[in-house]
Amino acid sequence: MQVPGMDFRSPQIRLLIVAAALGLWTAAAVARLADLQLLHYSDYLARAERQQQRIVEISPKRADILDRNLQEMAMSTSLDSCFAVPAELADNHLVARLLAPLLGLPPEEIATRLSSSRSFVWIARKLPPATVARIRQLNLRGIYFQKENQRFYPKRDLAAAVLGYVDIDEKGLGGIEYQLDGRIRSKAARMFILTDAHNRWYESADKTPEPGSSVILTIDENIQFIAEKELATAIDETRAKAGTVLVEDPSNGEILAMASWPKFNPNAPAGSPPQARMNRAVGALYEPGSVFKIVTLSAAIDQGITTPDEVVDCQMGAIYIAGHRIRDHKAYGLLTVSQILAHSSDVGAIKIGLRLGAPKFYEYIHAYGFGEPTGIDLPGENRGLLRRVENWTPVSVGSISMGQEVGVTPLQMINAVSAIANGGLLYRPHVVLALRRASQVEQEPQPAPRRVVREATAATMRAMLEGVILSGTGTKAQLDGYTSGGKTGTAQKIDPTTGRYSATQLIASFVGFAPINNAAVTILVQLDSPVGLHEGGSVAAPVFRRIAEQVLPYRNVPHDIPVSPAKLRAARRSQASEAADVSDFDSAQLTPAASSSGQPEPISAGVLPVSAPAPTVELAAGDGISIPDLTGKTVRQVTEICVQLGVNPVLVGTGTVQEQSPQPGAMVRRGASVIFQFGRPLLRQAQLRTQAQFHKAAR
Amino acid sequence: MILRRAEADRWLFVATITLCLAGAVMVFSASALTAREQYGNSYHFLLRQLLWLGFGLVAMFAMINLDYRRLRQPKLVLTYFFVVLVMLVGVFFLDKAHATHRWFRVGVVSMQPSELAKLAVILYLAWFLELRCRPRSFGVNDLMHTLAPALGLVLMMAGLVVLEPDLGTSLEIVIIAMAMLFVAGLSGKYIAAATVAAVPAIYFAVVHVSYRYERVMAFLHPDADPLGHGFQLMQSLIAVGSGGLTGVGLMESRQKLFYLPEAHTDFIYAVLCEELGFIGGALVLALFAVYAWRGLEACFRARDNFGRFLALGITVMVASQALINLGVVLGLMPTKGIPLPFLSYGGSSLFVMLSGTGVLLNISQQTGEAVRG
Repeated sequence: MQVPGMDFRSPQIRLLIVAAALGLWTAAAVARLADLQLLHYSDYLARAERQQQRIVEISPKRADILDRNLQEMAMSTSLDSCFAVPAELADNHLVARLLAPLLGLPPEEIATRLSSSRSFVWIARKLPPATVARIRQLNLRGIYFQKENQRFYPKRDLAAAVLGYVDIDEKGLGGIEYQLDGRIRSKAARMFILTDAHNRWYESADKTPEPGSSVILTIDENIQFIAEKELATAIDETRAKAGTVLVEDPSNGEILAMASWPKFNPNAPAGSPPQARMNRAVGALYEPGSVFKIVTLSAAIDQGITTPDEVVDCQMGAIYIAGHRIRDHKAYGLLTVSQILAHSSDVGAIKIGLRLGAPKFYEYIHAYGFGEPTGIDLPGENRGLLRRVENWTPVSVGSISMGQEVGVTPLQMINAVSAIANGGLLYRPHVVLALRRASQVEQEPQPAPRRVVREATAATMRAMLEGVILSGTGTKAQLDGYTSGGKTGTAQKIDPTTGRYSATQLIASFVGFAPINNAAVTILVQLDSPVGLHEGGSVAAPVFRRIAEQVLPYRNVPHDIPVSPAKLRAARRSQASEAADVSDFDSAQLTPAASSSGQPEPISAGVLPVSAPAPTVELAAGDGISIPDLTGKTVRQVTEICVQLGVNPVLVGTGTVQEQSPQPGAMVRRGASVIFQFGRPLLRQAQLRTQAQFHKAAR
Repeated sequence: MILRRAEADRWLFVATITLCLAGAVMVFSASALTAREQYGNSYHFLLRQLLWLGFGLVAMFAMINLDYRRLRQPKLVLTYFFVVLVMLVGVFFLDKAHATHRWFRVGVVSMQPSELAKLAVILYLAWFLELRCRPRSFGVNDLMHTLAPALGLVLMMAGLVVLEPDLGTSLEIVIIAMAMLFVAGLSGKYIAAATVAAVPAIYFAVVHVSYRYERVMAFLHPDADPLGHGFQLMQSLIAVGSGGLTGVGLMESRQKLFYLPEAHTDFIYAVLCEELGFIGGALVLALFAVYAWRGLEACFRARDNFGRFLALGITVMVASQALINLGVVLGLMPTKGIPLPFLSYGGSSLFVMLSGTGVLLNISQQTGEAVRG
């Protein structure tokens, strides 16, 4: 194809050049496409999601916290929360005015929230179902609901210091809730909202959260109840400012009860002052006073420096150390070492401490776990105050021998005494027994115990501590039917204004265990600033007795000494009356008077009345909630139904609902309390039988 | 004298129709939400696109059946050229839309004269260059008789388009003209001179018009200001990148939810890449490659110089415009308002592209071999 006048080779080559240019350009585009879509896909996907999705954290579902008998101490129920997508709202102020009366919030506040530029705003969280229904009836555009979880503590303030509490986002803020927050709460409880560039919401997806683990505590809610009840009684009687009761199993370091006063309601933590939310058992330091003589004497005996029968001159109540005169609380002459402990002679303890010498003494104090955290699985633990031996003054050995110049937590103190009770081993105290996830129970591993004193030393100490109770300062801790050992303590508090020991502010305490051999429980009672009678032996020792006399039979510990006839008669009477009234077998315990009567408690097992304010059941026409018949329902079922209904359940006892007040069908107002009496109709007979056999054996 | 010596190029035809149909689907996907919001009808843009597709196909079939040599008449070529020129001047006396003078309304139909200008330039240059390349004529490299009249009219056209302002389309016109002159045999010294002259021209057109400067800066540093001028580019890259290999699914684009501006026009390829992934994006590229290959093939085999120049101009128009659009969407070039042939929403563009393709198909069926055979 020759056309004259035109150079043909040139246009063909030039055409090829144009083709090549287009081809190169195309190749570049393909390469770029592959670069964006294949090599950097994940980067751009992430960027896309970042701008297209709004992730809203919703309260995760928290797993239950159970006591050692698998009774629910904390559980979660679900409630609706209301949120708005501001871009979809037609008229912010109209919506605010419509919602305000239903939510009880000022319209301006709602309007402010609605005018947010964000794609998502909470309006009100965790609403009662009736309010949700009314908002739904308004049928407002841009107003939506999301199910959220609500923590509920069915036993109210029982063991609150151990359990802790949560905030509105269901985040654990204290106790076990805080300590094991990451394991209790479900993972990734989030709502994904897809938004367009104008922040309008067009699609959402809940990510199914991975459930958290239930926590099984070492706490026994019945023992906890006994401890709290007796602590409350003691506080009431002594008008002390604060107090702590601890019950530990000395054979393994399990904490069976941990009670603090003042206490708080974890269902409404904001309603109580911060100091009420403090777990005093692990966080409150005090000078142990004479209780610490257990450490001094056991160290000396373990070192072979002294024996229980050695006679020591107590110098008629005064001793000079490094030029300081220390006066005993009472003038004693010659006392055996046993008697020094029994009568709590300061001079005697100081002389033995001086003989032991600072380095050895410090070694033992440290071995007992003072001055360092016990490692308990609870937050807020105080390590205590123990100066390093290099920093001790010449007076220090003497002061520490009688429990001054050293700061301990109640937990450190009870754990040290438990080491004497169990034959010389220091366990790590703990409140978590196991974690349960999807019916798989995983035991919490515990470190091996550490030997503090020789077994023989511990046995000697136990005999000496029994002496304290039989003939010394702790006679009020004598138990009916059980041997026991323990030590009283009365320590002056350091006045924070003067820095000196206060004459009026004291801490009265008692730490003891029972029975003497094969001790089943160690119990610490500590009362801060009792008014009137203030010695540990007179105010704390009786609390020990009352708790031990209820806890030991409950734990099926056989009597090791005869039970007094009066007590037996009382037990038989209560047993007879219980048998007569099967449906309401623990009604007597519901009345607070029974616990403060000073009479020995009737021995009853598995009974837990929860201290509750007087129920306020009010009827209001028009806004009534009809109470359904919940007989036979479990604690969990009752709680869920009540939360849905909007009434406040007061749960008494364990098992299934036996009775309820007001009666089914009654109309109550929102927020009213409804009492549910729980029991175990089938188990009851078996329990009574065991008790009867047990009392026969005791006779 | 219609000579049916061979069939029209099937590859070219299939590629064109496939791109048009993909375009209709993507226009609907990308515009449904915007359409419902602005016009209360999800199909607003789709229906208009289909209407124009109908017009365009009628024009294409008309052109397939019209011997391209009948276009080689000074009357027709120059009349068309000057009508477009008048329209380009006319738009300045009409209302602005989007702060630009791009639209020329005739009744309910809006046309963009700048789109018509591309065809006018191709037709004019093909006619004029063929005239000058004849034996005993002046030849391509005669400054007075060839280059001055050829470039004079073309640059006047391009200049009017720049003033609209529509830099993309005027650049497109210049590229077409340069390609045609180049293949016609423009000598090396003129190419060098044009390149040197282009540098200050582009410099002034870009640096002294603030929004263009900012677009260039945004292109160079998209992350520096992702919510400002880099926004368009960033959103486009996010759309393409998040598509991955297989895409998020047809109609499932999220970037079209007002993140991506001009989703159904200039950035339709980004939506396509997001919804159909690398597979879809590469397929569209392949279809344009097929178009360019078959277009250049038709050019190569054309029976005369007029057909050769015409085929080259049309092929370069489609291919270069597609590649510039893809370059913008993929972040290889600064953003420029230029639609993707056959796919982007826009009646004038679709109509012009299909008419041109009709001419190209007619050329392809009258190849040199066919004459001999």
